[in-house]
Amino acid sequence: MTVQLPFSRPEVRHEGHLKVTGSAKYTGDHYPPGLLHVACLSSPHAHALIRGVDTSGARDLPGVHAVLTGADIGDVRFGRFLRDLPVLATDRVRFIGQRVAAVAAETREAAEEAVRLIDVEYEDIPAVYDPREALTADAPVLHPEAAGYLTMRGDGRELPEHLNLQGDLVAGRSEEEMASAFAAADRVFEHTFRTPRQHQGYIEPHGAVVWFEGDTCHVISTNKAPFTLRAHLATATGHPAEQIVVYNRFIGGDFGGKGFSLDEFVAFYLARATGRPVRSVMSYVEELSGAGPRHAAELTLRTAVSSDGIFLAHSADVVFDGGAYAAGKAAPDLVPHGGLDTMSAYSIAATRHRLRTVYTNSVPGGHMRAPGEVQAVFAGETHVDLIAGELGLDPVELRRRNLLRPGSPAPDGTGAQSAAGEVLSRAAEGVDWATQPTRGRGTGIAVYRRKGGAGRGGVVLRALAPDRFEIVTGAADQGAGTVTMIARVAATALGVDESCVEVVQQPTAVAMFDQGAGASRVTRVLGEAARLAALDMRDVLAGDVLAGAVPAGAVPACAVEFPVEVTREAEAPRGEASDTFGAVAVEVEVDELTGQITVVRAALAADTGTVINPLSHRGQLEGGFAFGLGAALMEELPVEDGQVLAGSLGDYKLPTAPDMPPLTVINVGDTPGPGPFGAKPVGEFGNLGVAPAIGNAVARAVGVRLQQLPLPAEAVWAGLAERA
Amino acid sequence: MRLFDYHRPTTVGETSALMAELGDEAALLAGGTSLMNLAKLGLAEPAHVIALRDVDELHGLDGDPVQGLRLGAMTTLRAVETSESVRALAPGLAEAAHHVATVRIRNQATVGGNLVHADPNQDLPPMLMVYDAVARITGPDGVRTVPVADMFVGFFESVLEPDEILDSVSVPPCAPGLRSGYLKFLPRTQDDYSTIAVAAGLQVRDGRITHARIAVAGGGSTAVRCRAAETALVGNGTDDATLTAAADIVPGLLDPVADGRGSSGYKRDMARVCTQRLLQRLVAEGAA
Amino acid sequence: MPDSGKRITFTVNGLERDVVTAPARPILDVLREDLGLTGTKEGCSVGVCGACSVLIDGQLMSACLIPVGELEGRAVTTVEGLADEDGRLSAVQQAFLTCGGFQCGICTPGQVVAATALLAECPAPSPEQVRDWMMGNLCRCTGYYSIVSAVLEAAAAGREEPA
Repeated sequence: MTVQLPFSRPEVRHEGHLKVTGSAKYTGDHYPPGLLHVACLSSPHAHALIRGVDTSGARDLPGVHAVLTGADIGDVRFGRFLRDLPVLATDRVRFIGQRVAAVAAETREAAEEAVRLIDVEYEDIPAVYDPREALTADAPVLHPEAAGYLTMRGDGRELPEHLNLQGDLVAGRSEEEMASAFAAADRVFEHTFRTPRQHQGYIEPHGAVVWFEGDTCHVISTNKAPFTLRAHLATATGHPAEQIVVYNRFIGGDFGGKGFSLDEFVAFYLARATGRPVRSVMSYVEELSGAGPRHAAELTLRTAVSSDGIFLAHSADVVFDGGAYAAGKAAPDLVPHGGLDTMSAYSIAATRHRLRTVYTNSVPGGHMRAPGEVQAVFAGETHVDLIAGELGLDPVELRRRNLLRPGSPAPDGTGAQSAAGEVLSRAAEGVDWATQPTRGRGTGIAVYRRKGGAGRGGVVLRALAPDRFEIVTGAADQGAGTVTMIARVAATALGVDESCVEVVQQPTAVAMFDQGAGASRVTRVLGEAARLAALDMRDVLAGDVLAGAVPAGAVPACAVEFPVEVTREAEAPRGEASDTFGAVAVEVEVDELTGQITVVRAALAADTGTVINPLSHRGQLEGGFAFGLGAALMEELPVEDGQVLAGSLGDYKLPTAPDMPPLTVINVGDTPGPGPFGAKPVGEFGNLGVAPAIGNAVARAVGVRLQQLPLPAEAVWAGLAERA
Repeated sequence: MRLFDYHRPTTVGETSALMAELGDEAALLAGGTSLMNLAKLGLAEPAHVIALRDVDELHGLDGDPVQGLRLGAMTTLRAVETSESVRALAPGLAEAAHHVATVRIRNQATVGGNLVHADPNQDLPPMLMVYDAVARITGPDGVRTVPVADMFVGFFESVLEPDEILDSVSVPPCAPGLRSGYLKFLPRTQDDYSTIAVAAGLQVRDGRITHARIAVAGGGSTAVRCRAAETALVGNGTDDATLTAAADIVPGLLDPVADGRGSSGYKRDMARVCTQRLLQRLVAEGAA
Repeated sequence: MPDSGKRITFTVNGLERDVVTAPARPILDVLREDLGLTGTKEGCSVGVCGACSVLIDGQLMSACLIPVGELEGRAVTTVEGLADEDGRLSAVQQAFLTCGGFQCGICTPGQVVAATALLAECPAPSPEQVRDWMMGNLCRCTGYYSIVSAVLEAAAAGREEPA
């Protein structure tokens, strides 16, 4: 059972006052004295050799302090795991948008003007854009020097069978076992799905402000993992990590994208070259063409089903378009791991997944809210509806027969505390599943399981007085409510009012290590560290100090001398049972003449565990739903011959206020999670089921089945024409 | 963005003189929503910008039932949207203005800027065509007038010569009982440019259509007035067959460009669907 | 070389300001870099996202799309000018705080300024009017539900307060 805690009161965000008054300082809001502005020149070629760079015109421009090229800084490479991306291209460019030169100048305009005066001589070489084509024997090889690439651990890696392969992950049963499982089945279904590149769409572009004081490099950054960024900077530049200080407090939206950095590296060299603080902030053109969007994917799913609709075996072959560099991926096997979750909410005896990521001459893929899983759940949950259609079964009924049940885990031992059946029922009720919709309308559903990520981090808790506590964290706030969560957890564990606890965000030089905001782990790790620290503090302080009977301002007689400090770390181990189940149901109306899809209403059921910040929790679910709605209906970063065709947020459309349908959020179940007081992750959750639910609803409404994202009106219109 | 010199004349005469002096190095600045956008994206790099906000002659929105409407070039789209005169005399124009982008943009963007920019996806031009609006253009040789329906010659290209200024747009008193409306098809977001948009006006007497206007945004390199479809309506009844027949003519009059908002074929068909629906709506409003 | 030093005089949050700068620079850059008013944010930079929303002579506008030369003699209100002199939050700011109408907060100054403009023009908007008006201010975090609640809540609070 979840614990009854004083968490039901809606929180007022501790940092909220700063945000509603415009006082919260984000990275780009820092303009230290003597600041220089940075602009970068990027490649207009998808694949070319650099034959020469002439920067003389740029250097001569008044106000310009430094112009750097790859030749100036050398072949310096970085990456979240594989260091294959040069800070500035040296001999070759591999995608349109890759940085070739960088300028620091007195004004923004002078920096931009200088960039125009840089003359680069390119020699085009054959490019490859299609991942499957890139894996053929005679495809152009993007990284002939891959054998020399190092990882963040400092070692090399085993070269894959094709040099254009970034990662190749196989999980599950052997091919032979799968073959016999499929051979024994009554029915086998196979479908192929395609999903596009999508941009995270945060309103704050990536950026950094960097300066040196003596040998110490100071970095204010939009990166959400300050300690990891410090390590990456140190590894790439050779500058000692202890002489790099990373500050970040407010991040203007993340959605997976802010774990990867570009500007900090360029700014490091420009700050060193000029001896001045430099500010490098991406334009949205640069964001869309080079900042690490969601990987486009092609997924082929096969499922063996018994005559009574039981899933017996499932395999998935997923090919991700990795783009020109693997640098944006954090996992050592260089694949978006969520690709494993095509049907992970179901109990299936035999499964096998192969995930491959492939180099192509296009914008490198990165992380975006539930990387790989968004693609996998769209494919899996569409696949399940297609199977239901073939078997003549109601989609909810087919799911119910196969979902993980409490007490009977998946073959890998996970999922034993399944709330899948309950979220499915509640979401279905939310759109009156049993009622037959009117013509042109239909209901659709999707169910999924989200696994929390591994990681560790720590906090310092100080008692300054019996009724004043301070917690120091190195975590950045990317919007999810981290600061308030830490304060609430600590206050509850201490048994004091929340107003007695202040959370202080400190730079890497001061705070304890934290792996950063990612993989939905912040509440799990830092919340738990705060809880453990608070329990330690209780042991240190006399029980009566914390009894709550202390009058404000009065220091009770006790042996303790303030301040008292305790530190605690927490870790979410890899493979921890931290499942969260979700289901989305929607009712859509399809305009049969235009193909336009209108979501009339939606229900999102989440198996939530203990909710620590009710407003923020709800906000994550509602915001996740909106994120999923954009991905379902409109978001696609179109790329043609390596050129990203969306140049601004006028082309890459994000949902607006009137685009949102009525949404019912349903918190389900009493299964505690692994976080403090039984909390569960919710960050990369609300967006997962939206696209397949809408696609399934459209198919039920008008009989048009789309197996690719997004689901634009025109595709429905074309489907209607074909059907007619 | 490349910096520019900034000029602020106070009369049309001064403005013309500056334009003559600076030639094609100069650009006119009204609300800034187009020019600054183009400048930021490096698509326009004027060395001089001539700001029009102090030119009184270009301001003002007047209307009366006899003279019709006069919209000064510097009238904001928000003013068009909210003006009582516009709502009374040309309600379709207020409706179309409401559909331009977002309220923040409408507070800045102007009627003159909107027309001179000659963006084929803009919402105001087709509606002005429906109202037979006329642009008043001042040049070195004096003033000339051009119907909005004849103003556009290509993508972002109008009949204005480089040394001419659009000073106002006149909307003549409309045909008695004219019903007008605007249908903007937005399959992505509500703040998007249309995939296609249709403006139409109908006058119906004794069950017969006596006057018709149809114009389309997003249907090609310019806003397009669909005269052949209008002809198919006039003299006929308001039955569905008539409306459908007219709507069926529209796609053939268009040459839409494929983009992120739809293929050429899709936009054509959506023009047909939207025309039919809009005409049906106008007929129903008349019956009500 | 274009103008780089013109004197431009305007009012910001009730105070007269004098800047000497290139009149071509966007108002946004001058507010942030020259006047230190970094509450107004730069997002898309082309008038779509609304992060740079300010009031100019009371009208909601995009500070990224207007050259600062245009400000001569006019009055700008930024998010920093909404709370009263004692730092008491405006009804809109207070409602965003209590309704959780923000998460990361980068779009919040623009949202708050836009909502302020709406309530000045229409003190008792319907939910549809709120959604339509706030269309110009993108938020990637909240899905807008809590923002719409906050604006409606602020409107209700405004009605309760004596004028």
